Amino acid sequence: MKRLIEAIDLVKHFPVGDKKRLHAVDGLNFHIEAGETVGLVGESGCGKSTLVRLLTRTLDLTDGQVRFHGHGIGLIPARAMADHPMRREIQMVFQDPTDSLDPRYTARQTIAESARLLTDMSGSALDRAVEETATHVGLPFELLDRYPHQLSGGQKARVGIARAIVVKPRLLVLDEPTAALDVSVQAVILQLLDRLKREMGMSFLFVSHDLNVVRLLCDRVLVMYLGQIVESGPAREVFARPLHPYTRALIASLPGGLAGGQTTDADLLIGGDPQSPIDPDAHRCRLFGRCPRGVERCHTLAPPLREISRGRAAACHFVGPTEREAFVDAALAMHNIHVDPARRAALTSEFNRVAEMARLVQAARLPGDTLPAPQYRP
Amino acid sequence: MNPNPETATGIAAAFDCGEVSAREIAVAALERIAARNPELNAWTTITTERALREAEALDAARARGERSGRLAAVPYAAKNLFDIAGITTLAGARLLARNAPATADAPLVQRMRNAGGLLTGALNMDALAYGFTTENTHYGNTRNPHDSARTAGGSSGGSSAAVAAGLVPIALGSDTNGSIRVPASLCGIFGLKPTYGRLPRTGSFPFVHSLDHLGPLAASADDLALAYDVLQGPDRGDPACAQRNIEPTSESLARGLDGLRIARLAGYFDDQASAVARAASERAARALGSLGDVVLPEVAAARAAAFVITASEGGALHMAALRERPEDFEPLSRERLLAGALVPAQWVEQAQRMRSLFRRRVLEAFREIDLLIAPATPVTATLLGQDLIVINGRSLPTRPSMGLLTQPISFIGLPVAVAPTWPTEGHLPIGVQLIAPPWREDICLRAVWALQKAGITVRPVVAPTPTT
Ligand SMILES: Nc1ncnc2c1ncn2[C@@H]1O[C@H](COP(=O)(O)OP(=O)(O)O)[C@@H](O)[C@H]1O
Ligand code: SF4
Ligand SMILES: [Mg+2]
Repeated sequence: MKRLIEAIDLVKHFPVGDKKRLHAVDGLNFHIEAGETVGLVGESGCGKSTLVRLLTRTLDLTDGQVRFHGHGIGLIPARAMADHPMRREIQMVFQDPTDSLDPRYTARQTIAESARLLTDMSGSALDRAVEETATHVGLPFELLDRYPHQLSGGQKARVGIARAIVVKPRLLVLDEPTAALDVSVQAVILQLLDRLKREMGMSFLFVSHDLNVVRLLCDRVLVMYLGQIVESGPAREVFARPLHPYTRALIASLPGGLAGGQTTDADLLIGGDPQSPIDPDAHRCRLFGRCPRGVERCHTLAPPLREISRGRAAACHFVGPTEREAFVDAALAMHNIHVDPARRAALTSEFNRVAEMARLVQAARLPGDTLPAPQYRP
Repeated sequence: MNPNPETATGIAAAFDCGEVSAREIAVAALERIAARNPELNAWTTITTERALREAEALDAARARGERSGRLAAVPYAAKNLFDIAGITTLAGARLLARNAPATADAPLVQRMRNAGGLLTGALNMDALAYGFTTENTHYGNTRNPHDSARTAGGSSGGSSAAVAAGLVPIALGSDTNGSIRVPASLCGIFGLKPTYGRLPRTGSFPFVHSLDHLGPLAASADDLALAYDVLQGPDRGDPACAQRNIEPTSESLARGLDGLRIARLAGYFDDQASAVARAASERAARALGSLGDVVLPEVAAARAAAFVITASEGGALHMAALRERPEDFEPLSRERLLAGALVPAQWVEQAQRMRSLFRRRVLEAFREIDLLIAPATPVTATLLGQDLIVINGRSLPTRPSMGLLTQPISFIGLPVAVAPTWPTEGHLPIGVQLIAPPWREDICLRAVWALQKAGITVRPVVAPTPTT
C-alpha cells in the first residue's frame, strides 16, 4: 500500500512565557496508508488536537515534516492554507457540530459552499453533488433547507460530515466526532461512519479519547501520551493484547477490562501526578510516576518507540519482542540456565541489543559478496 | 641526579650510563605508586618484592660488566589478565579469584623482563575485559588521573591510568574492540594495538579468541615503539599467532612521514563523533598532511557484526559459569554475556561474512592510501556512573558506545596506534587512531612519532582541573 500522509519527527512546542515551552507534540513518527482507517487515542491534553491541526496544516510546525503522497507540506504556512490546493485533499469533521456550523446558512448552503470553494463544480452539477452527499450521510432532502437551530444534534453532525466529504478528500480527519452528541445519537453516527468508511475509498483518522470508537472503526491504532506515541499496531491486536503499560491501563479501565479477565492492580495506573508537558526531562519516560511497572531506569533513560513484532511498536523498556522472549526462554531451558526473575528484564534488553546489531548486519549490502544466498524455485 | 626521568628511553639510558641504579629507580617508582594508587585504583596487586629483586639483579649484572637490555630498569605493569608467576590471573573478575596463582609469566611479560623491565604489579580492568570504563563492582573503579570524577576508559583502564599519572612509562594491555585505544584516548597517552596475530596471547586470559589482541600503552611515541619491539616474536602457544620474525620499528621512527599517503576517515567516523573528537582527527590530519577524506562502506554494519561476534564468543566462553555461578559475575556485564551465549548461529555466521567482505573493501582502500586517521573515542572521558552520552544530538548508552570508533577497525585486525591530543577547551584529552594495512605497525608508529614531533600530543596545561 501507499503512504498517504506521513509525519516525521513532528514537533509542536508552544511558548508559555518565561522561556518555557509546552511540548504538545514531541517527536512523532507515523503514517496513514491510502484507504486505511487509523485511530488516535489518548487522554485529554495529550496533544491529539494539536497533532490534527499540524496534519491539516492549520497550525505551523515547530520542527519535523509532514508529507502528503511523498510531497513535503510541512512548510505551507497555516495562514496560506485557506487558498491552497492541498486544502481539498484533507478535510476535517469537528467535534461540536453546533459550534462549527454557520447559523445563517441552511444545510444545503453549507454543503454547497464547501464544494463551491474547493472544487470547480457549479450550477446543476453542484446541486447534484449536494444531494448525492446528503443521501450518502442519510440526510433527508426535506431537511436540506433548514437552518442549524432547526436541526437535531445528530442531523447537524450529518451536515458536518457531508460538508467535509462533498469535496471528495483523500483524508478525512475526525476530531472527537461523537463527543458532543447524546449517547443515543452517538451509536447512529458511528454506524454512519462505519458505512462511509466501507463505501468510500478515502483514508480516515479518528481522534478520540473514547477507546470504543476506535475499537469499532479502526484498522490501526496510535496511542498517545504527553505528546508522544507510546504504542501502535493493528487495532484488533492492540485491544486483544495491549503491550504498553499505558495502553494496558486504558483498556483495563474499560468495562470488561483486559481480554481473558487478566486485569490486576499491576495493570492500573498508580495515583502519582502526571509529568508536566512544560519542558519535560528528555531522559525520563513520560509515564514514569504513574506507571505501575516503572523502575529506576525509567527515570534516567527514556524508552524509544521500537518495533516489537510485525506492525506493532511500543515505547517501554519492559516490552520486548515476544517471539524473542520465547526464544530466550527456550534457549535458557536448553542450556539449563536459571535466571533470577529480577534479572530477566535486563537479559531481554541485552538480547534485544544484540538482535538489533544482527539486524543491522543483515540489512547491510556490501558489493562483491561472493557467497550469494541459495536460490529456491517456488 | 633524578631517578625518575619521565620516559622509558630516558630511564634505560640513565641506567646504562651508570647515572642511577635500578634499585633507586624501583624504590622511587614503588613510592610513587604507593602514594597515588589509593586514589587512582590502577593496581590490584603491587609486586614490590619482585620489582626490587629484578632491580637488584640488574645492578649486579651491570657491576659484572654485562650489557643491559633495551628496557633496563624501566618500571612497568601489566593488566591483570596477563599471567604473572606467583599471583592469580584475575581478568578483573571475582569469578577467577579463587584460582591457583600462575606458575609462569606470560611470554610478553617474560619478554619485558628479559629486556630489563621491572614489574611493579597487575592492573585493574573491566571484569573479563567486557567494558570500556573500568567500572568494576568487585575491585573498584579506576579513576582518570586528569579528573578523578571520571573514568580512565577501559577495559585496560588500570594500564592507561598508571601511565597517564606518570607512575610507570609503559603498561601492557589488551584490546578486543578498543580496550587499549579507548583508555589511551581518555587518559591522553599513547597505545598500540598491533595486527591481529602479531603478538602471542599465550598466558593471557581470553575474552573473544577471534578478536583479542595484546599490546603496549606508553607515555611517548618512542617508548611505545620500544615496548612494541621488545614484545615482538613468534610463540607456539597461540594458534592464531602469525609466527613472524621481529620487524623492528624504533629505528624507522625518525623517517617520519616520508612518502606516506595519508587520509582522514569521514562518514561514519564523523557521524559517530562529537565535535571535539572530529576536531581532533581534523587537527591530526592537517599536521600529517592528509590528502583528503575517505569514506568506507557499511562501517555501522561492521561495528554491529563485531558486537555480535563479541557477545557470542564471549558468552560461549563463560557458559558453564553463567549456569553455575551467576552471582560471581560482574553485574554490569553478566546479562550481556548471557545474552551473547544465547545468540543463534546464523547471526554469528552473517557477522563473519560481513567481516571478510568489510576487510576486503578496506584493504582495497589501502591500495591508494598508507595511513587512515580517525578519532579514538566519540567523546572525552565520561563521569563514573554516567549512563548516557550525547553524540550529535542523539543520546546513547555510554558503556557500549565508547567503542563505536575503535570496534570497526579491530574487527578486521588492522594495526592501529593512538596518539593523544589536547582540545583547546576543557581539561580532558582525546586520542586519534592512526590505522595502517596489516603488518605495517611501523607506519602507525611513524605517524604517532610525527604527531609528537609536531607538538600536538603534549598536554598544554599542567594542573588537572577536577569536575564537581
Ligand atoms: N495554543 C496553545 N498554547 C499553549 N498551549 C496549548 C495550545 N494549544 C494546546 N495547548 C496545550 O497543548 C497540550 C495538548 O493539547 P491538545 O492538543 O488540545 O490535546 P488533546 O486534543 O489531546 O486534548 C495541552 O497541554 C494544551 O494545554
Ligand atoms: S519505560 Fe518504565 S515508566 Fe515507562 S512505561 Fe515502561 S515501565 Fe513504565
Ligand atoms: Mg482535543
